[in-house]
Parts: sequence; C-alpha cells; structure tokens
Amino acid sequence: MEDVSLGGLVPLGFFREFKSGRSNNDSIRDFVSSEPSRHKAIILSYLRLGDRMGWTMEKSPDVIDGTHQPDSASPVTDGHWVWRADLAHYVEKYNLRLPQEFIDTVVARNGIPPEITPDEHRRIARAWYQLPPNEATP
Amino acid sequence: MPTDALAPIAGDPAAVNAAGRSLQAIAADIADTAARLRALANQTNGWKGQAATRASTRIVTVPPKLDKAHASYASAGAALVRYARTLADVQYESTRARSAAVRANNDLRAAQIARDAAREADSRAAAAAQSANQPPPPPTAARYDAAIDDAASRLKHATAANTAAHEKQQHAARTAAAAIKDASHQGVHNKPWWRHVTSDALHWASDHWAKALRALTHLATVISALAGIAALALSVAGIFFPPLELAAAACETVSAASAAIAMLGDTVLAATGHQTWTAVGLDALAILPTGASKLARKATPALRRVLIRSADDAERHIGRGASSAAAMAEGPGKPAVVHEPWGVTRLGRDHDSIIFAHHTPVEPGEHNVVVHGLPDGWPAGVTSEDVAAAIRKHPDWHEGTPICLYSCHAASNGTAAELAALLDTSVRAPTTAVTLDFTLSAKPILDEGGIWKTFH
Repeated sequence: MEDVSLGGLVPLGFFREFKSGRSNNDSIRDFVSSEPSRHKAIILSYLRLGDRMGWTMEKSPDVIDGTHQPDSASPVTDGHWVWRADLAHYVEKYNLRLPQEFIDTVVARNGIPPEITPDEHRRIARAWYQLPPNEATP
Repeated sequence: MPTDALAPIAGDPAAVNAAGRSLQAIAADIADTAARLRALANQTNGWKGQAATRASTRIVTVPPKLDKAHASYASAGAALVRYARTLADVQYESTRARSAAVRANNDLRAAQIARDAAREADSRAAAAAQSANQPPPPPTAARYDAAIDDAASRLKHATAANTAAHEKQQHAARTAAAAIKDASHQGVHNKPWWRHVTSDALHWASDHWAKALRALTHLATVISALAGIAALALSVAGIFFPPLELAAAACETVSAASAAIAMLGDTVLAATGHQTWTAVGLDALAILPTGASKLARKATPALRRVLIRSADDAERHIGRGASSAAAMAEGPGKPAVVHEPWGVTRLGRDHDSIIFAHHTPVEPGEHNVVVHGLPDGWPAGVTSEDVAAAIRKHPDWHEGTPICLYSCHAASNGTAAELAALLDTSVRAPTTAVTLDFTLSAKPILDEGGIWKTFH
C-alpha cells in the first residue's frame, strides 16, 4: 500500500521479523516458496543494483534460520519501491514471493533499475527519512 | 561443448555501482564546498591586513579548481554507474546464453546418443533381415538428424550470444575507461606519490588479472564505502582490466580530491595568517573569523580523514607497510577491531561500519564506536566485554572519555547501558536503527520516534 507520507515511495519486504521502524504485520514465512520465480535472476539483479539510501548499523542474521547472511538493513530504492539491502538474500535463499506489480516493473526493466541522479537521490532520501526538503541537515 | 566460449562475465555490478555512487557523492561534497568558499569570499567581517588579503586571494582561486575536481568526480562517477548497468545487463545476457547452451548441448548429446543407438539397432535389424532373407526395415537413425541439427544450431547461437555479451562488456569497459580518462583531464592533476604506490599493484594485476579481477572487484565494495582515494583506483583497475594505463589515469582523477581538499585546508590556514599545519595545529582553526570558522570545522575532520585514509587504504589494500589504523582480529566469529586514528573504534570491516567510521564527525572530547546492533542486542559473537576491551585498546582512548555509540537500537536493547557500566563513562546511543546517508548530511538519521539517550 502506497504511503503518501513517504512521497509516493512504497516499502517492499519490511516484514515483522525484521523488527525495524518500517516493519509491517506480514510474516516473512508466509512469503517463502519452494518454487523460484522464473524471473528470479533479474529480480536479484534489480534488488542488488538499486540505489542505496544510506548505510544502517543493523545487520541481523537470517531471520528464518538464524544463520549468517551478508547484508544489512540499509534501505535501497529504484525511485518508487524501497527495500532493505538484505531482501535479496531472502529472495535468493527462500524464493520469497514479491508483489506482482514489483515483478512486472523488474521484468519491464530487464532487471536494471532506472538511473537516479544525485539530486533525485537526495529528494527520494529526504522523502524516505521524512526530512524537510530544504533543510541542510536532519 | 567449447567451455572457453561459454565463460561467464566476471565482475560485481553492485560494487561498481556503489563505487560510482561514492564518486558522485564526493562530487556533490566538492560542489558544496566550492559554493561555501564562494560565499565566504564575499564576506569580509571587518577582517583586514596581510593575512586577510592572502586568505581572500586563495579563497578566490580555489573554487575554480574545486569545480574541476567536481567535474572529474561527477564524470567518473557517472561512467562507473553506466558501466555497472551495462555489466549487469551483459551478465544477464551471458547467463541466459550459457543456460541455453547447456540445454542445447544436453539435447545435442542426447540426440546423438539416440541416433547412435538407433544406428546400432538399424544394423542389427538389417543383419537380422538379411539372414532371414527379407528386405531390411526402414532405418530409424535418420529421424534424429533434425533434432541434432536443431540442437547444434541452438548451441551455436547460444555460444554466439555469449560471445556478443562479452564483446559488449569489453566495449562498455573501454567506453567507461575512456570516460574516466577524459574525466581525469577535466580535473586537477595531483602529486603522483600514491600513483607510484599503486603502480606496483597495477603491474602485478596485469600479470594476474583473471585471478585478481574477482578479488579486486570484491575490494571495490569496500572501496566504494571508504571513498578511499588510492584504493579506489585499484577497484577501477579491477573493473577495467586490461587497460591498466587508463585505470592509472583514473587514479589521477580520484587523487584530485585530496589535492582539492588539501588546497581547501591550506586556504583555511592562510585565513588564519599561518603557513603550515604543523605550525598551528588543527585546533587553531577555531580562531577563524565567524564566516570561516564554520567552514573550518566542517573541513578539518574531512581533511584529516581524507589524508589519513588515503595513506591507510593504499597501504592496507596494497599490502605495503604498516597501516596507520591498527587492526586486529578478535578471534573466530568475532568482528575485526579497527582503531581509526581520528578517534574511532570500529568493529567490523563491512560496508556500513566503514562508512560510519569515515563519515561521522567525532565531537571534541568524545570517542566514536561503530558496531552493528540488533533490536535485541549485539550481533552473534559480540559481547559488551568485547566492545569495551576493543575501546580500551584504542591508543587515544583514556578512562572516562565519553562514548558516542553508533550501533542500532543500542539505547533500547541494553547494550549502551552495559557499555557505560563496564567503561565507567557516559555512552550516547540511538534508541532505534541509525542510518547515515552522507550525501544528505554527516549526521546519522534515526528511525521515526528514535532519540539519542545518554547512559552513565
């Protein structure tokens, strides 16, 4: 569901197990699939090539099996969707099902997120962090 | 199947993309600094005399050089970002081609085996028919010919597609390398000291490029986080093998930042009427006139970090000499402890930790500690005792020095309170996740509802 307060940005995969400020009520376990999406390769490419909106000092182990996973909770975006950097790990390992609208976007873009200019990046990041548009520092 | 014709395309697009973004972020910082200097040049604040004249002269001359550095960084960053996209694209094409080739090859072998078996069956049937004095039955082997032709054709096309993907990658690499070379010409050429330092690594890499490529593209992940100047050149070398000379040109481009920032520092010093850093020390910047002091406070830690970081990263990643940042492994399953010489203890060599250590300011009288945190405590393998011991080993930390703890949830998961008790000092920490986007600000951002709390 689009959150108007986030400037039209749509959180993707902020499951309750992550216990982050953006977490929703969905359980990641409900989205695990035994069958990989036929677009899995380009979905992973897309998730990993998004624009990183900062670096977060939270790196949790795999929330499903407790093992090590390499990525952090840092937010990543394509200018519309926003996901955590570690979401790719779960898609890769557990064939996590993602919204069809997102997959359609990925397929249409052949797994390559759109280029985001530095100015766009700052505008998007400010919206995500809910910072005033003209304020120099948070 | 010709395996050499079906080689994958090496490289890490995400790491290249991150490197490009870092360069673009540096470009933005440089542009911001140039704008501030221009604004400063228009302020006199009643300051007169020889020092004021010298400062004014330098302040006027520096921004155009910063503009060049900005253009260099922006161009090089955009080139890397474009290359990352192409690399991802061609890797995808290569993966598809290789998968198709594997399928076609399997089909080909299966059809060939079936045809061979059919031929044997045809022979046996023909022999049996001959011995029975009957006409031979129609041969069956030919029915597999079409399948073989089809599989062979698909294999050929898949191999060609993979070759085309490789050619695209090479073209994109050449294009990006040329763009970076052009970017270097736009910028300010710098002292070549660390280019000499890196040259050995580049020559070594040229001899071992296939093996080094993987290691160096992995290194790019770290480098992009550091915006480490000399080390970033190595990532470029890793990305653009074999045109190492062009990569060396990129080194010059990147080095422009240290030159630019050094000039900025020099300018700020001139504004104080002093000539050298050693003569006045970094703290002397506080005596600047009103307009300059704000700039100086901003510039000094950046300058200090960049200068130290350049040498440190070059040495650390190239494997030469002793690093100015002491690093030690704390045992199996424990994060590496790094004592940054600007008053930071860092646990971990990951992207996020490095970014925080290098981009968050150290407040006067405080010591920064950077370590990942979780809603329910430290990451696995880390204890408050580990963190306290790491801090105590920092050569610049003294008993009682207050701690600024950059660790998610540390003020709400109990870890900050534990650390304060163990070190018998105050520990300031966030109640929520803490994120730094240094393209926005050097101040970390807390999640909604988050605050900084201090424990004693």
